[in-house]
Amino acid sequence: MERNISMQHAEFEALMSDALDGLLAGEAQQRFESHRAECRACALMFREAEAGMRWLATLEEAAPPAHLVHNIMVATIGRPAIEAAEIGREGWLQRLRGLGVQVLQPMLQPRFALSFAMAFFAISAALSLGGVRLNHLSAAQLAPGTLANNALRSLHETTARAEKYYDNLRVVYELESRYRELRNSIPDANEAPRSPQQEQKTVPNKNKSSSEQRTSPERQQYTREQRDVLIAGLMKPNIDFAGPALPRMDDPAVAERRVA
Amino acid sequence: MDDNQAIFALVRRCVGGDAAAWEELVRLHHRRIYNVCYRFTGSAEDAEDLSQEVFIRMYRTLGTYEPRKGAFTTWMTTMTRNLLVDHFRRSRHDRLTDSMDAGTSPDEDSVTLGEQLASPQPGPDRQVESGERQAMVQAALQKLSPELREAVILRDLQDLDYREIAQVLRVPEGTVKSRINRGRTELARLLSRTYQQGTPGEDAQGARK
Repeated sequence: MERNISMQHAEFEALMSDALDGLLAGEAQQRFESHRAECRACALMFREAEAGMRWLATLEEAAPPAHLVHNIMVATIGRPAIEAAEIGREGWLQRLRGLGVQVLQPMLQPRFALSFAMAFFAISAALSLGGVRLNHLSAAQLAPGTLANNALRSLHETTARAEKYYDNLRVVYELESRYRELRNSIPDANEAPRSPQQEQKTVPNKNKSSSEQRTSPERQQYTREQRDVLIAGLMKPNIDFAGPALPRMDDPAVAERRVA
Repeated sequence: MDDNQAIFALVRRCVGGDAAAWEELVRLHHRRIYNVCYRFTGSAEDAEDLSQEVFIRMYRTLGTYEPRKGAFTTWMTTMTRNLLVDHFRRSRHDRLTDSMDAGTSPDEDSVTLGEQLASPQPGPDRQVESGERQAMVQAALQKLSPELREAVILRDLQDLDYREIAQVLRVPEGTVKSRINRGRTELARLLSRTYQQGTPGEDAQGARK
């Protein structure tokens, strides 16, 4: 009898899942219910299993984190979920554009971008120097001869502007003035024994540059003294304007020199 | 076209490199995978990490799926279960001894389920209205042995039939039924010891209402 009951326990436990799921029917259902009514241990086990199933049924579906799909997509295909969805919906033009972006993406790094920017500025400067204006660009302006002429003209204009700017610099002007003053203040060995005639020629010369006319006070004084000598010489009544007189042949001094 | 054929068509598109198809597959199944992981581990962070691992492995091995060997859900759940077992072994959270009889020992009674609930891990359950009760059931679920836990999760939470569960767990159907019965019974006993409001069956019925 005990052996028969234990077999019924094993059978009861085997059928319990189906009974809880409502799958038992007919004779199996009747045998199961009769054992449950007779055996307290099996009845308790059934109640507990039923309670456990009900407890589990109270568990609602846990909401996954909002970023889970995004993280999965990044971890698997290396692209966020939204972008992947857009790729699935977009047309061939957008796909082609996306492909282009993918191809160009390695070249859009900062170092390449800087290189491109430098190249752009270099080309812009070259075009500007060559006189090319993109707003009104024509085929004739792209001829090599035109480009060369424009480049030369721009070069000359730039050089002239630079020279003008250099000359207009106050520092350069003052340095040049100081240099002239310094040069004029040094007594020139060739200038000291100048004759009054030579001085006379130099004084009224109005073709001298303005820089030479701006002489130092010492130079002006020296010139005035020379001018006084010249004026004094002009005041002599026996001055011979025809130049120095030639020695006469009957002069005794000349005769002595000829004998010697 | 039934569900299996539709899923298989989606899988073929994924294998062909269709990113949109892969995203659709992820969106279709990520809740199921996450819930299996969350109910098994009891940790939202672990569930998230494990879900990602499942999909990474799935993405790599998607080409090996064959419909004639079983439904895609079974194939995916098997993969999830294998990862959960690996995770369980790694983390050494061995609770195999926490069986129906273990609760009677004085040492284990000193750490009651109520004390466990005093420091619950924050998770998605906290966001729902009956969060406290669900956290209690989740804590009791964590006290089950892994074999019983995975069996009741697959049956009562994921609604797989016995044949599919046997395929996932690689055990006979009779063993599956036995584990499910033991898991349900043990869960009810754990909750009846801590939840002091009438009989477990009545509480559960009230909770369902």
